[in-house]
Amino acid sequence: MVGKSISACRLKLGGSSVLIVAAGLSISAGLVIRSGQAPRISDFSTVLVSILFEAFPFVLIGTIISAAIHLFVTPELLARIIPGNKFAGLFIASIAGFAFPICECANVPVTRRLVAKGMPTPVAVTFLLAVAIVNPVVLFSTWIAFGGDWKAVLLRGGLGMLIAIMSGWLVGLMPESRSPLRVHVAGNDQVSKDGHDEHCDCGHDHVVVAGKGRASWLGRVRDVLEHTGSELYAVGRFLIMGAAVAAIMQTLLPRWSLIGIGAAPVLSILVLMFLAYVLSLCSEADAFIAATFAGYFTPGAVMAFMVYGPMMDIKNTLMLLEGFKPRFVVILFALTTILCLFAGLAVNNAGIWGGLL
Amino acid sequence: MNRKPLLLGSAIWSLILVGWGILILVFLVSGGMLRYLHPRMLPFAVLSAVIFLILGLLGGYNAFNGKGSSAPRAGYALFLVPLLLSAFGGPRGLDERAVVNRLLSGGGGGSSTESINSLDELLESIGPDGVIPFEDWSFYNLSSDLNANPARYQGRTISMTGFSFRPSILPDDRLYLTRFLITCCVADAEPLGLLTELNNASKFADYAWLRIEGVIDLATAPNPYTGKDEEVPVLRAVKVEEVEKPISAYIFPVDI
Repeated sequence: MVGKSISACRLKLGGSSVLIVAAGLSISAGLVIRSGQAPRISDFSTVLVSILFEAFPFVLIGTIISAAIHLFVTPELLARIIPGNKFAGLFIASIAGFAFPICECANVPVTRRLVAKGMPTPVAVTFLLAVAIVNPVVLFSTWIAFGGDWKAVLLRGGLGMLIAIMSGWLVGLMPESRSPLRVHVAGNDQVSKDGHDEHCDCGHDHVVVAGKGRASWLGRVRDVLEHTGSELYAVGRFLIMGAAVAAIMQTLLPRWSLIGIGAAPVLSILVLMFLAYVLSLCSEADAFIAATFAGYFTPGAVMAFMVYGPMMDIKNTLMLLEGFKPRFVVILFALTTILCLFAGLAVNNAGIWGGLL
Repeated sequence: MNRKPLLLGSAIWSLILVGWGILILVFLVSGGMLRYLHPRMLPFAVLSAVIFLILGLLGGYNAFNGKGSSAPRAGYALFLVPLLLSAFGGPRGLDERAVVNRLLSGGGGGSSTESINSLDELLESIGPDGVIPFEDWSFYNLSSDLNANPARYQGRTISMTGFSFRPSILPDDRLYLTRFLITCCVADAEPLGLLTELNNASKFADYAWLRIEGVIDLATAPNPYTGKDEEVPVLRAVKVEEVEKPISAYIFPVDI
């Protein structure tokens, strides 16, 4: 009995002491920043926090939608909405962004929840990959960034759709797609046939479960909010870790150092895909950064940057790992990377788009 | 009476959530948020602040009523660190030195039809001999147009405020008069620079803020990254004055 309470005590101290140390370090760093003596640390902090200010609303919207789906959408309802024909389902998923133009930060929690509710994995994957590109906001900003170049918009949207559909279809051929979600993780609660929540690790009682329960609106709202809170912690940690890596890359990596490889037909594509992955730029803004590369890199590289970035970056890879099995995430990563590389090569070889020329 | 113990873990988490809500609101009210985000993102920031406060207050209420977890998780530190960095560091905005790691661009990308029309109206109202202001509100459209149609501006007088950026490739009488363009948030900041010619450009401190009036011309200059010669618009300075860094240092395109 004593041993148990000592180790429990140590656990409590562990979490608290990490927090105290973290608080002390960040307050000191904050004061150093305020003194103006450390421009690099200041920039790291500014970029990190700006990514968070920009992403939080969408992660919150995503987790609220996800919690609402959890509590109000039954697998039966979902099965009725998704068309029976496999390719029709993939196609609809690839253009869903026109109905839900959400930032890529929101689509991981929503997709996870849809899979838990029985959405076929291929359809979910296509949705996940396409929604951040094939939506009016991103396509419009692409148009503006490239000075009204319709080819840029059509190529980005078209390649985005194609890669999303192909990835979804290919994932469907693999055994990992049958159960891609990690079990015993808050947010992945599998709903059994009679509506009971299994493995719901949110740590509290449900007032209502989709398909049955009290019609108390207050209770339902409260449930949505409480779920949002725990999912925010689960997903948010990875958002913040990804944002920190992106902020480090932004402050330390001189982009002009990559220009030497700009003309290389294959290497240029790989370099810009790598950059898209580590910078984790919002898909509404990355077209403007892509346009700055247009004078120095092959058109295929620039297009690959714009198609790969919204699909895969360090932020959403970490968020995916939180809810999906590692093997599944690796497969998804490999598929999108290879397909985007081919897309870049195709653009370079077809010669149909000259970048900003 | 049986009083339920305060659950420390949940209480700390709720405090962090409330902290984020308050931080975002304070920055919104003080205008500091514009050092991080494009104005069109502000309504979303308001939404996140409100949600943070609701979640935090609900979580706090639960923590006082025995609902939640007692052990603070180490992972809360991830949320605590940026909150405190920002709260204690203040909304400083991107330092001008960040231009060194990013690719300098001659002008913005493009503009919508409404912007092009308002640009034409602006130029008409100024007349053929007036000074064209490359200020916060006009900068993006003008620089895009300057890049696309440099001949239209040749011989025209413009005024522009920016900071001095002098990569080593530049001779002593040239600098790039630079501003950061923000599309979404500071993470995507793109430096826009106009090559400027003035006597003793090198005498000004690196990254000093200057207000320059001069005449646009076309010139051949080496690209600062490839060294290859290219024809670019150049500002031949007539009047130069050092100024304070403007409160609104970034350029926010209005179109998007």
